[in-house]
Amino acid sequence: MEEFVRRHENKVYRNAVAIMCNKADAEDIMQDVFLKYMEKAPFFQSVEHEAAWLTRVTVNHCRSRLRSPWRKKTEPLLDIYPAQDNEQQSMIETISALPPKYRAAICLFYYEGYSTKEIADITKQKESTVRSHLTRARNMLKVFLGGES
Amino acid sequence: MNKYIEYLDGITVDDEQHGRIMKLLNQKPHRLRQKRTIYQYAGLAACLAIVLLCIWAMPGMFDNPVVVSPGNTGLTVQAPPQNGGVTVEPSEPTNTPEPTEPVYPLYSLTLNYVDSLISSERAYIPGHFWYELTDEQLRAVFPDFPLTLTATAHYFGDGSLHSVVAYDNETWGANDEYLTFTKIEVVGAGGGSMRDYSYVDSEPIISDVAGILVTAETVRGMPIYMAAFVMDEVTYDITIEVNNLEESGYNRGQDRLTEVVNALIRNGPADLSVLNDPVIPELRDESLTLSEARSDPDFGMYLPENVPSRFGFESARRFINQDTDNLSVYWSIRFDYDYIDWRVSKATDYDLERIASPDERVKYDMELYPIPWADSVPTELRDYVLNPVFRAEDLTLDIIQARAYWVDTDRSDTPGWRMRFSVLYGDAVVEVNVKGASPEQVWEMFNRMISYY
Repeated sequence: MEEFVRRHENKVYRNAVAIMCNKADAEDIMQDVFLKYMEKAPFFQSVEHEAAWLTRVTVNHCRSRLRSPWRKKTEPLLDIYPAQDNEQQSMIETISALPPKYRAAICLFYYEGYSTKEIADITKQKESTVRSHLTRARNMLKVFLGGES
Repeated sequence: MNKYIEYLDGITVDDEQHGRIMKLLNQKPHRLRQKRTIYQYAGLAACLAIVLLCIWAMPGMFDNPVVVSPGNTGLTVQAPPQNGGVTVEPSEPTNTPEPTEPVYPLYSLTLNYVDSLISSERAYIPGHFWYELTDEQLRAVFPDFPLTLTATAHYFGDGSLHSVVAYDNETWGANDEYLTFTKIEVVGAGGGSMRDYSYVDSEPIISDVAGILVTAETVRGMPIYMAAFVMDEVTYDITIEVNNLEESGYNRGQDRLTEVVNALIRNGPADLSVLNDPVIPELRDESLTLSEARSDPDFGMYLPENVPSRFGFESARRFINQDTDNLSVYWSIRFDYDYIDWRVSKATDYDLERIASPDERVKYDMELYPIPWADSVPTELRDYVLNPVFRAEDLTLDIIQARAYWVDTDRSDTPGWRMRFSVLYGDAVVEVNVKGASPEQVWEMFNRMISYY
């Protein structure tokens, strides 16, 4: 179990941080994800299946936490994990101000590298919804995206 | 978005965070699935007891309930009266028989709206161990309490009490859902941290319940009710959650909170001395070298003498707590995902339930179950197929070959063998989880282990 956690904790934690934008909630979610793994003991057919399962559970726990009244007020994310330069600071501040569902789409698309169809499978949303979230998020981030599609 | 990717890449889980995860996981055995059944049946009995008790013991409870009007900016409740909080007088009996139980005044609570939680780090209890309270201890900690509780005392590793957490046996509805959930945390002078709330109004209104100051809260738009107070240096923290968003659900939650707070205060503070001097179980959590792991007097003999040459030793750990006693060793390949995860532990009842004999191939032969296994493996066989246990004398190369399955992919993972199973040696069980070693290599590891001693 420890080795499974070691292999995946950074990925799970980063996804949770990217969606929740605070360390305390992300830590709680990370613990809940591994508890879920321990409880469900799922079969994994491949590394990709394993990764997708963890991502799906992480996203679901983020959603539950966002609906819960027990959300914690903590330090701003950039106070704990400072940016390396002004451009990165501005980008993270802008992303942090996005609605969580847009942050999730941004994280899964740009950081995890999933396609919109894969994101739709993971988040159990319509692919059109995922594209809509990405489009709106990109509009808010267009100053940072430059020529990226 | 490279800046975004670089930013997230720079965020990593540190050793302290990792340690907290592993502590939590090692405190959570696989009995999670069994928990609800116990509470479910106990809850049915508790339902009847609560109904009977309410009929005879608390006739005045519902005479003047606190009024809630959902949708208002605040609760339409009476402001705290000048006389200290009594707003409900016991009604005078008329043409009714003499009650067999005393009728107590019920102090109302002023509920403050909260919309978020401010809390410290999730409580970490160094050397955590725990015991369920006996009936005698329950009576001492919750004297004359009207609900049927189950409670667990949580301790620090030095034997000092951290807290007591009690749950009412949940009330079940027609669709097998819980209706009302009650949790009471009791913390002594040296115990754990309490919650803070983000109040809608800047200062909460305090309720006076028989001279005890109580802060009571409800979450805006949610049937969740909380209260906290200190009585004789003992802190109580109550949470009521109602699985019903109709009007009756809100009333039920309020009424339950009022009932619980009044009962706790009326019956006096908890006698936590009954929980002193617990038997401290053996606790151990150490990283070992391979040599130290092989020298372990309990489990070292169950490690393989050699592993396939391309695998290198990565880590070993000796862990003991109330539920777990194991030695685990991990071999891996640098810059690769293949590994051998070898864990030796005391055999549990759960291990013994999963024993498969050689002729019971439905319990272990992966050839019988095409992917996706979630569809092909029958529910009743799932625990077996996931991790069957073989008696040591039954283990053969044929069985290991039946456990192994080949993963052939051209994506980021390496193709190769995968397998997972356990072997019972007397009262010890060896669990192997392998990626990248062939059945023949794994068979050789077991053979070398057996002949090593």
